[in-house]
Amino acid sequence: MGSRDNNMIDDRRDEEVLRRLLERSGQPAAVPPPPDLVTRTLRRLPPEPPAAAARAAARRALRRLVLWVALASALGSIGLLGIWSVIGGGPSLALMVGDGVSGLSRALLTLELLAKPLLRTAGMGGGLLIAAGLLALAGAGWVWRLLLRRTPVVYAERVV
Amino acid sequence: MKRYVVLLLLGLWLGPGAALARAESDALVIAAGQHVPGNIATVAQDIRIDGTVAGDVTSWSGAITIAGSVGGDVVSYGGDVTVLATGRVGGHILASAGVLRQEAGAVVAGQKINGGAGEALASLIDLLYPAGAGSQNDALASPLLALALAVLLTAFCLLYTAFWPGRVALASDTLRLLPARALGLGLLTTSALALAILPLAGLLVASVVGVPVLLALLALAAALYVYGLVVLARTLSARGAMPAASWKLIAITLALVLVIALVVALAPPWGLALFFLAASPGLGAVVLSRGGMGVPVVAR
Repeated sequence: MGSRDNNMIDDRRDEEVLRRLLERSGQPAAVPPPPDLVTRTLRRLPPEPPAAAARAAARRALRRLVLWVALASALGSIGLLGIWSVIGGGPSLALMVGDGVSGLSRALLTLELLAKPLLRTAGMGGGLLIAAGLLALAGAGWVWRLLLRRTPVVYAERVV
Repeated sequence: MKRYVVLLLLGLWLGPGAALARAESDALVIAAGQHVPGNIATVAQDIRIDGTVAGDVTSWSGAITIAGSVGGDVVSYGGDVTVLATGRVGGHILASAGVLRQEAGAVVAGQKINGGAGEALASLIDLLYPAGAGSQNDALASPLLALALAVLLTAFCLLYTAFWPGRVALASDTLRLLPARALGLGLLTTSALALAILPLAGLLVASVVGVPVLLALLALAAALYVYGLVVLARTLSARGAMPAASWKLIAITLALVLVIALVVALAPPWGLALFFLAASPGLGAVVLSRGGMGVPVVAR
Protein backbone atom coordinates (compact mmCIF):
# COMPACT_ATOMS: atom_id res chain seq x y z
CA MET A 1 0.00 0.00 0.00
CA GLY A 2 1.52 3.25 -1.06
CA SER A 3 1.54 6.58 0.60
CA ARG A 4 0.68 9.95 -0.88
CA ASP A 5 4.24 11.02 -0.14
CA ASN A 6 5.53 8.41 -2.60
CA ASN A 7 4.42 10.64 -5.50
CA MET A 8 5.90 13.90 -4.30
CA ILE A 9 6.35 16.48 -7.04
CA ASP A 10 9.60 18.38 -7.16
CA ASP A 11 8.42 21.74 -8.50
CA ARG A 12 11.89 23.13 -9.07
CA ARG A 13 13.04 20.10 -11.05
CA ASP A 14 9.83 20.03 -13.08
CA GLU A 15 10.18 23.67 -13.96
CA GLU A 16 13.73 23.13 -15.16
CA VAL A 17 12.57 20.24 -17.32
CA LEU A 18 9.79 22.37 -18.73
CA ARG A 19 12.19 25.22 -19.49
CA ARG A 20 14.57 22.86 -21.25
CA LEU A 21 11.74 21.50 -23.36
CA LEU A 22 10.56 25.00 -24.21
CA GLU A 23 14.07 26.11 -25.14
CA ARG A 24 14.43 23.09 -27.39
CA SER A 25 11.25 24.04 -29.25
CA GLY A 26 12.45 27.62 -29.69
CA GLN A 27 10.34 29.25 -27.07
CA PRO A 28 11.37 32.75 -25.97
CA ALA A 29 13.49 32.98 -22.91
CA ALA A 30 11.83 34.12 -19.70
CA VAL A 31 12.11 37.85 -19.15
CA PRO A 32 13.15 38.86 -15.64
CA PRO A 33 10.43 40.79 -13.85
CA PRO A 34 10.83 44.55 -13.55
CA PRO A 35 12.61 45.58 -10.37
CA ASP A 36 9.68 47.71 -9.06
CA LEU A 37 6.97 45.09 -9.72
CA VAL A 38 5.90 44.85 -6.07
CA THR A 39 5.84 48.63 -5.59
CA ARG A 40 3.79 49.11 -8.75
CA THR A 41 1.33 46.41 -7.77
CA LEU A 42 0.93 47.85 -4.29
CA ARG A 43 0.44 51.32 -5.74
CA ARG A 44 -2.44 50.02 -7.87
CA LEU A 45 -4.26 48.43 -4.96
CA PRO A 46 -7.03 50.56 -3.35
CA PRO A 47 -5.75 52.33 -0.24
CA GLU A 48 -8.66 51.31 1.97
CA PRO A 49 -9.06 47.80 3.41
CA PRO A 50 -11.73 45.47 1.90
CA ALA A 51 -14.17 45.86 4.84
CA ALA A 52 -14.13 49.66 4.56
CA ALA A 53 -14.49 49.40 0.76
CA ALA A 54 -17.54 47.13 1.19
CA ARG A 55 -19.11 49.62 3.63
CA ALA A 56 -18.51 52.47 1.17
CA ALA A 57 -20.02 50.44 -1.70
CA ALA A 58 -23.13 49.72 0.42
CA ARG A 59 -23.45 53.43 1.22
CA ARG A 60 -23.16 54.28 -2.48
CA ALA A 61 -25.83 51.68 -3.38
CA LEU A 62 -28.18 53.12 -0.73
CA ARG A 63 -27.60 56.65 -2.04
CA ARG A 64 -28.38 55.45 -5.58
CA LEU A 65 -31.57 53.74 -4.38
CA VAL A 66 -32.71 56.86 -2.51
CA LEU A 67 -31.98 58.95 -5.60
CA TRP A 68 -33.97 56.62 -7.86
CA VAL A 69 -36.91 56.50 -5.42
CA ALA A 70 -36.88 60.29 -5.12
CA LEU A 71 -36.76 60.71 -8.90
CA ALA A 72 -39.57 58.18 -9.46
CA SER A 73 -41.66 59.83 -6.73
CA ALA A 74 -41.10 63.28 -8.22
CA LEU A 75 -42.04 62.11 -11.74
CA GLY A 76 -45.01 60.15 -10.39
CA SER A 77 -46.22 63.18 -8.41
CA ILE A 78 -45.93 65.42 -11.47
CA GLY A 79 -47.81 62.84 -13.55
CA LEU A 80 -50.60 62.38 -11.01
CA LEU A 81 -50.91 66.13 -10.47
CA GLY A 82 -51.16 66.68 -14.24
CA ILE A 83 -53.84 64.00 -14.62
CA TRP A 84 -55.73 65.33 -11.60
CA SER A 85 -55.68 68.87 -12.95
CA VAL A 86 -57.16 67.71 -16.28
CA ILE A 87 -59.62 65.07 -15.09
CA GLY A 88 -60.38 65.90 -11.50
CA GLY A 89 -60.43 69.68 -11.75
CA GLY A 90 -57.51 70.03 -9.36
CA PRO A 91 -55.05 72.93 -9.36
CA SER A 92 -53.38 73.43 -12.74
CA LEU A 93 -49.80 72.17 -12.85
CA ALA A 94 -48.95 74.92 -15.35
CA LEU A 95 -50.21 77.67 -13.06
CA MET A 96 -48.13 76.29 -10.17
CA VAL A 97 -44.91 77.16 -12.01
CA GLY A 98 -46.02 80.48 -13.52
CA ASP A 99 -48.93 82.37 -15.00
CA GLY A 100 -49.19 80.44 -18.27
CA VAL A 101 -48.02 83.40 -20.35
CA SER A 102 -44.55 82.19 -21.26
CA GLY A 103 -41.80 79.64 -20.71
CA LEU A 104 -42.32 76.34 -18.93
CA SER A 105 -45.70 77.39 -17.60
CA ARG A 106 -46.96 78.10 -21.14
CA ALA A 107 -45.64 74.75 -22.42
CA LEU A 108 -47.30 72.86 -19.56
CA LEU A 109 -50.57 74.73 -20.12
CA THR A 110 -50.49 73.83 -23.82
CA LEU A 111 -49.95 70.15 -22.93
CA GLU A 112 -52.80 70.25 -20.41
CA LEU A 113 -55.13 71.77 -22.99
CA LEU A 114 -53.95 69.32 -25.69
CA ALA A 115 -54.90 66.40 -23.43
CA LYS A 116 -58.44 67.69 -22.94
CA PRO A 117 -60.06 66.67 -26.27
CA LEU A 118 -58.49 63.20 -25.98
CA LEU A 119 -59.93 62.61 -22.53
CA ARG A 120 -63.22 64.45 -23.08
CA THR A 121 -63.87 62.45 -26.28
CA ALA A 122 -63.09 59.22 -24.45
CA GLY A 123 -65.48 60.22 -21.67
CA MET A 124 -68.19 61.52 -24.05
CA GLY A 125 -70.47 58.54 -23.47
CA GLY A 126 -70.55 58.99 -19.71
CA GLY A 127 -69.60 56.69 -16.85
CA LEU A 128 -71.58 53.71 -18.10
CA LEU A 129 -69.82 53.65 -21.47
CA ILE A 130 -66.43 54.10 -19.81
CA ALA A 131 -67.18 51.16 -17.53
CA ALA A 132 -68.33 49.12 -20.55
CA GLY A 133 -65.12 50.06 -22.39
CA LEU A 134 -62.99 49.01 -19.42
CA LEU A 135 -64.92 45.75 -19.19
CA ALA A 136 -64.44 45.15 -22.92
CA LEU A 137 -60.70 45.82 -22.54
CA ALA A 138 -60.46 43.41 -19.61
CA GLY A 139 -62.36 40.80 -21.64
CA ALA A 140 -60.10 41.34 -24.65
CA GLY A 141 -57.07 40.95 -22.40
CA TRP A 142 -58.46 37.71 -20.98
CA VAL A 143 -59.18 36.24 -24.46
CA TRP A 144 -55.74 37.42 -25.65
CA ARG A 145 -54.03 35.58 -22.79
CA LEU A 146 -56.20 32.50 -23.34
CA LEU A 147 -55.30 32.34 -27.04
CA LEU A 148 -51.61 32.67 -26.23
CA ARG A 149 -51.76 29.98 -23.53
CA ARG A 150 -53.58 27.62 -25.89
CA THR A 151 -50.86 28.08 -28.51
CA PRO A 152 -47.63 26.69 -27.06
CA VAL A 153 -44.59 27.19 -29.25
CA VAL A 154 -41.27 25.51 -29.76
CA TYR A 155 -38.57 28.13 -29.85
CA ALA A 156 -36.65 27.69 -33.07
CA GLU A 157 -34.40 29.45 -35.51
CA ARG A 158 -35.17 29.42 -39.19
CA VAL A 159 -32.33 29.89 -41.65
CA VAL A 160 -33.56 31.51 -44.85
CA MET B 1 -59.52 31.76 -45.72
CA LYS B 2 -62.14 33.51 -47.87
CA ARG B 3 -64.58 34.05 -45.01
CA TYR B 4 -61.83 35.84 -43.07
CA VAL B 5 -61.28 38.16 -46.00
CA VAL B 6 -65.04 38.89 -45.99
CA LEU B 7 -64.87 39.59 -42.24
CA LEU B 8 -61.91 41.88 -42.83
CA LEU B 9 -63.80 43.82 -45.50
CA LEU B 10 -66.83 44.10 -43.20
CA GLY B 11 -64.66 45.58 -40.46
CA LEU B 12 -63.13 47.93 -43.01
CA TRP B 13 -66.60 49.06 -44.01
CA LEU B 14 -67.91 49.65 -40.50
CA GLY B 15 -64.90 51.40 -38.95
CA PRO B 16 -64.34 54.59 -40.93
CA GLY B 17 -67.98 54.67 -42.06
CA ALA B 18 -69.07 55.68 -38.59
CA ALA B 19 -66.41 58.39 -38.44
CA LEU B 20 -67.31 59.79 -41.85
CA ALA B 21 -70.99 59.80 -40.93
CA ARG B 22 -70.12 62.00 -37.95
CA ALA B 23 -68.03 64.29 -40.14
CA GLU B 24 -70.99 65.02 -42.37
CA SER B 25 -73.41 65.81 -39.55
CA ASP B 26 -74.58 69.32 -38.62
CA ALA B 27 -73.14 71.56 -35.94
CA LEU B 28 -73.88 70.82 -32.30
CA VAL B 29 -75.81 73.82 -30.92
CA ILE B 30 -76.43 74.62 -27.28
CA ALA B 31 -79.38 76.97 -27.58
CA ALA B 32 -79.83 80.17 -25.56
CA GLY B 33 -81.28 79.34 -22.13
CA GLN B 34 -80.01 75.76 -22.30
CA HIS B 35 -77.60 74.69 -19.52
CA VAL B 36 -75.13 71.79 -19.81
CA PRO B 37 -73.71 70.81 -16.40
CA GLY B 38 -70.79 68.75 -17.79
CA ASN B 39 -68.41 68.89 -20.76
CA ILE B 40 -69.06 68.92 -24.50
CA ALA B 41 -66.82 67.07 -26.97
CA THR B 42 -67.04 66.34 -30.68
CA VAL B 43 -64.65 64.76 -33.18
CA ALA B 44 -65.41 66.31 -36.57
CA GLN B 45 -68.42 68.41 -35.74
CA ASP B 46 -68.69 72.17 -35.30
CA ILE B 47 -69.99 73.50 -31.97
CA ARG B 48 -71.98 76.66 -31.26
CA ILE B 49 -72.67 77.71 -27.68
CA ASP B 50 -75.51 80.19 -27.19
CA GLY B 51 -76.47 78.86 -23.76
CA THR B 52 -74.28 77.84 -20.81
CA VAL B 53 -71.78 75.01 -20.45
CA ALA B 54 -70.31 74.44 -16.97
CA GLY B 55 -67.33 72.32 -18.10
CA ASP B 56 -64.96 72.21 -21.08
CA VAL B 57 -65.87 72.51 -24.76
CA THR B 58 -63.54 70.50 -27.02
CA SER B 59 -63.45 69.40 -30.65
CA TRP B 60 -60.87 67.59 -32.79
CA SER B 61 -61.41 69.39 -36.07
CA GLY B 62 -64.68 71.24 -35.66
CA ALA B 63 -64.96 75.02 -35.35
CA ILE B 64 -66.17 76.33 -32.00
CA THR B 65 -68.24 79.52 -31.69
CA ILE B 66 -69.02 80.91 -28.24
CA ALA B 67 -71.86 83.39 -27.93
CA GLY B 68 -72.97 82.20 -24.50
CA SER B 69 -70.97 81.14 -21.46
CA VAL B 70 -68.39 78.38 -20.92
CA GLY B 71 -67.12 77.65 -17.39
CA GLY B 72 -64.10 75.55 -18.38
CA ASP B 73 -61.55 75.51 -21.20
CA VAL B 74 -62.21 75.68 -24.95
CA VAL B 75 -59.95 73.55 -27.18
CA SER B 76 -60.02 72.69 -30.88
CA TYR B 77 -57.12 70.87 -32.55
CA GLY B 78 -57.98 71.71 -36.14
CA GLY B 79 -60.91 74.12 -36.15
CA ASP B 80 -61.25 77.86 -35.55
CA VAL B 81 -62.33 79.19 -32.15
CA THR B 82 -64.45 82.36 -32.15
CA VAL B 83 -65.64 84.17 -29.04
CA LEU B 84 -68.40 86.60 -29.97
CA ALA B 85 -69.04 89.88 -28.16
CA THR B 86 -71.55 88.24 -25.83
CA GLY B 87 -69.29 85.23 -25.15
CA ARG B 88 -67.76 84.42 -21.75
CA VAL B 89 -65.04 81.81 -21.21
CA GLY B 90 -63.99 80.99 -17.64
CA GLY B 91 -60.90 78.96 -18.57
CA HIS B 92 -58.25 78.97 -21.27
CA ILE B 93 -58.59 78.73 -25.07
CA LEU B 94 -56.39 76.65 -27.41
CA ALA B 95 -56.79 76.69 -31.18
CA SER B 96 -53.95 74.48 -32.39
CA ALA B 97 -54.18 74.90 -36.15
CA GLY B 98 -57.25 77.07 -36.60
CA VAL B 99 -57.70 80.80 -36.12
CA LEU B 100 -58.56 82.25 -32.70
CA ARG B 101 -60.87 85.30 -32.84
CA GLN B 102 -62.12 87.37 -29.95
CA GLU B 103 -64.63 90.12 -30.64
CA ALA B 104 -64.65 93.34 -28.63
CA GLY B 105 -66.61 92.85 -25.43
CA ALA B 106 -65.93 89.12 -25.21
CA VAL B 107 -64.43 87.95 -21.90
CA VAL B 108 -61.77 85.26 -21.64
CA ALA B 109 -60.52 84.72 -18.07
CA GLY B 110 -57.56 82.45 -18.94
CA GLN B 111 -54.83 82.37 -21.55
CA LYS B 112 -55.36 82.29 -25.31
CA ILE B 113 -53.02 79.95 -27.19
CA ASN B 114 -52.90 79.79 -30.96
CA GLY B 115 -50.72 77.22 -32.74
CA GLY B 116 -48.18 75.76 -30.36
CA ALA B 117 -47.09 72.18 -29.86
CA GLY B 118 -50.25 70.65 -31.26
CA GLU B 119 -49.93 72.09 -34.76
CA ALA B 120 -48.55 68.91 -36.33
CA LEU B 121 -51.25 66.82 -34.69
CA ALA B 122 -53.90 69.31 -35.77
CA SER B 123 -52.65 69.21 -39.38
CA LEU B 124 -52.85 65.42 -39.37
CA ILE B 125 -56.39 65.51 -37.97
CA ASP B 126 -57.35 68.11 -40.55
CA LEU B 127 -56.02 65.78 -43.24
CA LEU B 128 -58.13 62.90 -41.94
CA TYR B 129 -61.24 64.98 -41.22
CA PRO B 130 -61.00 68.14 -43.37
CA ALA B 131 -62.79 71.09 -41.83
CA GLY B 132 -64.45 73.42 -44.33
CA ALA B 133 -63.83 73.83 -48.06
CA GLY B 134 -60.46 72.55 -49.24
CA SER B 135 -57.96 74.67 -51.16
CA GLN B 136 -55.57 73.43 -53.85
CA ASN B 137 -52.99 72.74 -51.15
CA ASP B 138 -55.50 70.59 -49.26
CA ALA B 139 -56.17 68.61 -52.45
CA LEU B 140 -52.45 67.85 -52.71
CA ALA B 141 -52.13 66.88 -49.06
CA SER B 142 -53.72 63.41 -49.33
CA PRO B 143 -51.60 62.25 -52.31
CA LEU B 144 -48.48 63.58 -50.57
CA LEU B 145 -49.42 61.72 -47.39
CA ALA B 146 -50.00 58.59 -49.47
CA LEU B 147 -46.64 58.97 -51.19
CA ALA B 148 -44.80 59.48 -47.90
CA LEU B 149 -46.61 56.51 -46.38
CA ALA B 150 -45.80 54.32 -49.41
CA VAL B 151 -42.10 55.21 -49.31
CA LEU B 152 -41.83 54.66 -45.53
CA LEU B 153 -43.83 51.43 -45.58
CA THR B 154 -41.78 50.01 -48.46
CA ALA B 155 -38.50 50.95 -46.79
CA PHE B 156 -39.45 49.46 -43.40
CA CYS B 157 -40.95 46.31 -44.98
CA LEU B 158 -37.73 45.70 -46.92
CA LEU B 159 -35.66 46.35 -43.79
CA TYR B 160 -37.64 43.74 -41.87
CA THR B 161 -37.18 41.25 -44.73
CA ALA B 162 -33.45 41.97 -44.94
CA PHE B 163 -32.59 41.97 -41.24
CA TRP B 164 -35.07 39.46 -39.78
CA PRO B 165 -35.74 36.92 -42.54
CA GLY B 166 -35.83 34.02 -40.09
CA ARG B 167 -38.29 35.67 -37.74
CA VAL B 168 -40.54 36.79 -40.60
CA ALA B 169 -40.48 33.21 -41.96
CA LEU B 170 -41.45 31.69 -38.59
CA ALA B 171 -44.30 34.19 -38.10
CA SER B 172 -45.41 33.51 -41.67
CA ASP B 173 -45.41 29.74 -40.96
CA THR B 174 -47.60 30.46 -37.92
CA LEU B 175 -50.05 32.45 -40.05
CA ARG B 176 -50.20 29.61 -42.56
CA LEU B 177 -50.71 27.00 -39.82
CA LEU B 178 -53.25 28.91 -37.70
CA PRO B 179 -54.91 31.54 -39.93
CA ALA B 180 -58.13 31.82 -37.89
CA ARG B 181 -56.37 32.16 -34.57
CA ALA B 182 -53.87 34.67 -35.97
CA LEU B 183 -56.64 36.74 -37.57
CA GLY B 184 -58.71 36.61 -34.37
CA LEU B 185 -55.79 37.62 -32.18
CA GLY B 186 -54.74 40.37 -34.61
CA LEU B 187 -58.24 41.86 -34.81
CA LEU B 188 -58.61 41.57 -31.03
CA THR B 189 -55.33 43.45 -30.57
CA THR B 190 -56.35 46.14 -33.06
CA SER B 191 -59.77 46.56 -31.44
CA ALA B 192 -58.28 46.76 -27.94
CA LEU B 193 -55.72 49.31 -29.13
CA ALA B 194 -58.43 51.37 -30.85
CA LEU B 195 -60.47 51.31 -27.65
CA ALA B 196 -57.59 52.17 -25.33
CA ILE B 197 -55.59 54.62 -27.43
CA LEU B 198 -57.70 57.74 -26.75
CA PRO B 199 -57.87 57.61 -22.95
CA LEU B 200 -54.31 56.29 -22.71
CA ALA B 201 -52.94 59.07 -24.93
CA GLY B 202 -54.98 61.64 -22.99
CA LEU B 203 -53.69 60.41 -19.63
CA LEU B 204 -50.08 60.30 -20.83
CA VAL B 205 -50.24 63.81 -22.32
CA ALA B 206 -52.01 65.14 -19.21
CA SER B 207 -49.33 63.62 -17.00
CA VAL B 208 -46.69 65.68 -18.90
CA VAL B 209 -43.93 63.21 -18.00
CA GLY B 210 -45.75 60.55 -20.03
CA VAL B 211 -45.34 62.34 -23.38
CA PRO B 212 -42.06 60.53 -24.27
CA VAL B 213 -43.67 57.24 -23.20
CA LEU B 214 -46.60 57.95 -25.52
CA LEU B 215 -44.27 58.69 -28.44
CA ALA B 216 -42.32 55.48 -27.78
CA LEU B 217 -45.54 53.45 -27.56
CA LEU B 218 -46.83 54.88 -30.84
CA ALA B 219 -43.53 54.08 -32.57
CA LEU B 220 -43.61 50.55 -31.17
CA ALA B 221 -47.20 50.01 -32.31
CA ALA B 222 -46.37 51.28 -35.82
CA ALA B 223 -43.32 48.98 -35.98
CA LEU B 224 -45.44 45.97 -34.95
CA TYR B 225 -48.07 46.69 -37.61
CA VAL B 226 -45.40 47.01 -40.33
CA TYR B 227 -44.02 43.67 -39.10
CA GLY B 228 -47.54 42.25 -39.46
CA LEU B 229 -47.79 43.56 -43.02
CA VAL B 230 -44.46 41.95 -43.97
CA VAL B 231 -45.61 38.63 -42.49
CA LEU B 232 -48.84 38.83 -44.50
CA ALA B 233 -46.87 39.59 -47.68
CA ARG B 234 -44.58 36.61 -47.08
CA THR B 235 -47.53 34.30 -46.43
CA LEU B 236 -49.25 35.43 -49.61
CA SER B 237 -46.09 35.02 -51.65
CA ALA B 238 -45.28 31.52 -50.37
CA ARG B 239 -46.84 28.48 -51.96
CA GLY B 240 -47.79 26.05 -49.18
CA ALA B 241 -44.77 25.27 -47.04
CA MET B 242 -42.38 26.23 -49.85
CA PRO B 243 -40.40 29.39 -49.16
CA ALA B 244 -41.14 32.32 -51.45
CA ALA B 245 -38.72 33.62 -54.01
CA SER B 246 -37.39 36.99 -52.90
CA TRP B 247 -38.61 38.79 -56.06
CA LYS B 248 -42.11 37.44 -55.43
CA LEU B 249 -42.04 38.57 -51.79
CA ILE B 250 -40.90 42.05 -52.84
CA ALA B 251 -43.54 42.22 -55.57
CA ILE B 252 -46.37 41.28 -53.19
CA THR B 253 -45.09 43.70 -50.52
CA LEU B 254 -45.05 46.49 -53.11
CA ALA B 255 -48.55 45.54 -54.30
CA LEU B 256 -49.92 45.66 -50.73
CA VAL B 257 -48.23 48.99 -50.04
CA LEU B 258 -49.51 50.39 -53.35
CA VAL B 259 -53.12 49.41 -52.59
CA ILE B 260 -52.90 50.99 -49.12
CA ALA B 261 -51.30 54.16 -50.52
CA LEU B 262 -53.96 54.41 -53.22
CA VAL B 263 -56.78 54.21 -50.68
CA VAL B 264 -54.96 56.74 -48.44
CA ALA B 265 -54.75 59.14 -51.40
CA LEU B 266 -58.49 58.80 -52.07
CA ALA B 267 -59.76 58.72 -48.48
CA PRO B 268 -57.12 58.95 -45.72
CA PRO B 269 -59.22 57.46 -42.86
CA TRP B 270 -60.13 54.44 -45.00
CA GLY B 271 -56.52 54.01 -46.06
CA LEU B 272 -55.26 54.00 -42.49
CA ALA B 273 -58.03 51.59 -41.49
CA LEU B 274 -57.03 49.33 -44.39
CA PHE B 275 -53.39 49.38 -43.25
CA PHE B 276 -54.23 48.44 -39.66
CA LEU B 277 -56.75 45.78 -40.68
CA ALA B 278 -54.54 44.27 -43.39
CA ALA B 279 -51.63 44.06 -40.96
CA SER B 280 -53.79 42.51 -38.20
CA PRO B 281 -53.53 38.82 -39.27
CA GLY B 282 -49.77 39.19 -39.58
CA LEU B 283 -49.63 40.92 -36.20
CA GLY B 284 -51.64 38.06 -34.69
CA ALA B 285 -49.14 35.58 -36.15
CA VAL B 286 -46.25 37.63 -34.77
CA VAL B 287 -47.81 37.50 -31.30
CA LEU B 288 -48.60 33.78 -31.56
CA SER B 289 -45.05 32.99 -32.69
CA ARG B 290 -43.72 35.10 -29.78
CA GLY B 291 -42.21 37.73 -32.02
CA GLY B 292 -41.20 35.24 -34.71
CA MET B 293 -39.01 33.21 -32.35
CA GLY B 294 -41.00 29.98 -32.35
CA VAL B 295 -43.54 27.83 -34.17
CA PRO B 296 -46.82 26.58 -32.68
CA VAL B 297 -46.65 23.00 -31.47
CA VAL B 298 -50.24 21.90 -32.10
CA ALA B 299 -53.44 23.57 -33.18
CA ARG B 300 -55.92 22.72 -30.42
